[in-house]
Amino acid sequence: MILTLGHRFFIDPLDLHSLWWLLLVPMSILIAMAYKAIRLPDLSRYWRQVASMSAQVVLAMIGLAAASFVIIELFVRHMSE
Amino acid sequence: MFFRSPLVCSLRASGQEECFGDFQFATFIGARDLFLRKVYWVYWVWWVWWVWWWAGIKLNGQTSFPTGNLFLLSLFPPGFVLPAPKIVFPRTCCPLTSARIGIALQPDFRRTVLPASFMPESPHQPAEEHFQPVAGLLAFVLPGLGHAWLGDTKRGLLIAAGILGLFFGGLLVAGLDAVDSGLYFANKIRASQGKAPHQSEGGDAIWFAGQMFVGPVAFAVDAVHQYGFKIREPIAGNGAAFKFRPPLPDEERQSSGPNVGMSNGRSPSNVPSYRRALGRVGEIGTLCAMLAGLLNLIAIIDATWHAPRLGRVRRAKL
Repeated sequence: MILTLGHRFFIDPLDLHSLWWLLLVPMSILIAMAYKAIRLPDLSRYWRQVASMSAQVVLAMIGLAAASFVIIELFVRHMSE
Repeated sequence: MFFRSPLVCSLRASGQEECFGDFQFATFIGARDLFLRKVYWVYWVWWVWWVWWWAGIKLNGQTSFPTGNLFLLSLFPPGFVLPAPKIVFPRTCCPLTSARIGIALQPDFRRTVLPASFMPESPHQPAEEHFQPVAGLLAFVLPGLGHAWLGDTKRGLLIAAGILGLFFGGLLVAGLDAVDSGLYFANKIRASQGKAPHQSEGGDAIWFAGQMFVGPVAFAVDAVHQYGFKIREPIAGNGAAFKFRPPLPDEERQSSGPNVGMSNGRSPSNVPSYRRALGRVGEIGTLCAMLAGLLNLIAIIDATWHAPRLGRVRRAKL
C-alpha cells in the first residue's frame, strides 16, 4: 500500500489493489449494521446480531470463492482437456 | 425429520428465533407483508427466468426470449394474487444463513414464528401499521431521520451509521469515481428547459440508480464530481454544451478565468483533478455506495409503512 503525499481522501482512490479482498470485511459489517438496525424488533442484542450476520456473510463469500475455484480450476479445466 | 443448523438451534434456545423470520412466508397480515412478498416473488421470477433461458441455450441452442407454459406460469405465481397461507420454508436449505432458499422439502407447520414487526398485540390481533409519508420523505432526505422522527432515535442513529458509513466508505476506497451519474438527471433538466444536453464520458448511471436512494447526499457528491472535478471540453458547433470527461492520468484543470474546469496542460494556475478508480478497488467502492442506497430504500419503506416494534417486555407478555 502506497499513499502518495498528494493523496486526497474521498477524492482519489486508495491504492489497495493487492489487499482489495480485505475491504469485504468492513463492507459486510456495515451492511449488517444497517440491515439489522432496520429489521431487529429489539435492539438489545443488536451488536451480537451484527457480528453473527457479518460472520455469515464473510463465510458465505469464502465458500462461494472456494466453490468457484473448484469449478474453474478442476471442473472447467477437466472439461477443456 | 428436520435438519436444523446448530446456529439456528442455539438462537431458538436463546429466544432470538424471530430474528430469523425475515424470509418466512407467514400469514397475510398487512400491506407491507404483501409488498415484501411481492419483492420476494420478483426475485424468484428473475431467477426462474435466467435458469429457463440458460437451459434453453444449453439444451436447444436457443438464444431468443424464452416462452412456454412454464415460463408464463412463473410470471404469475400464486403469491402475486393470493395471500399465501401459513407456508414456512424448512430450515434445511442453508445452515450458514437465515435465508430460506430452494423448494420446501417438508413444511414446518408445527411452530410458526412471525417476525416481531408482524407480532400481534394479542394472538388474534395484528400489529397496527401506519402509513407515514413524512417519515418516508425524511428517511430519503437523510438516512435514519425517518425512524428518528417516529421516535426511534437509537434505531435511526444506527441506520444512519450503517448507510452513511457504507456510502462514505465507498467514497474513501474508490474516491469520487464511485459516484458518477453521467449527467443523466442534469441532462433531463436541461432537456426540459429546451437546452442542448451535455455529453458525458465514463458515467455509471446504472450504478447511480441504486446510489441515489441515499438521498441528497448522493446527488451532492455527484454534482461535486461532475462540475468540480471532471474536465470540460467544448463541443464543436454548440457553445452552450460541453463534454464532461474524467481526467487523463496527471491531467489538470484550469482553476480560474473564463475556462474554469477545462484542461490546457500543466500550468501553475491549474489544480489537479482526480484519479480514476480501476480494478477491484473501483468495483468495491462503487458497490458499497450502491448497497448504501438499496439499504436506505428498505429503510424508507420501513419508515413509510411503519409498525411500531414491540419491546422485549411487551413481547414477553404474549
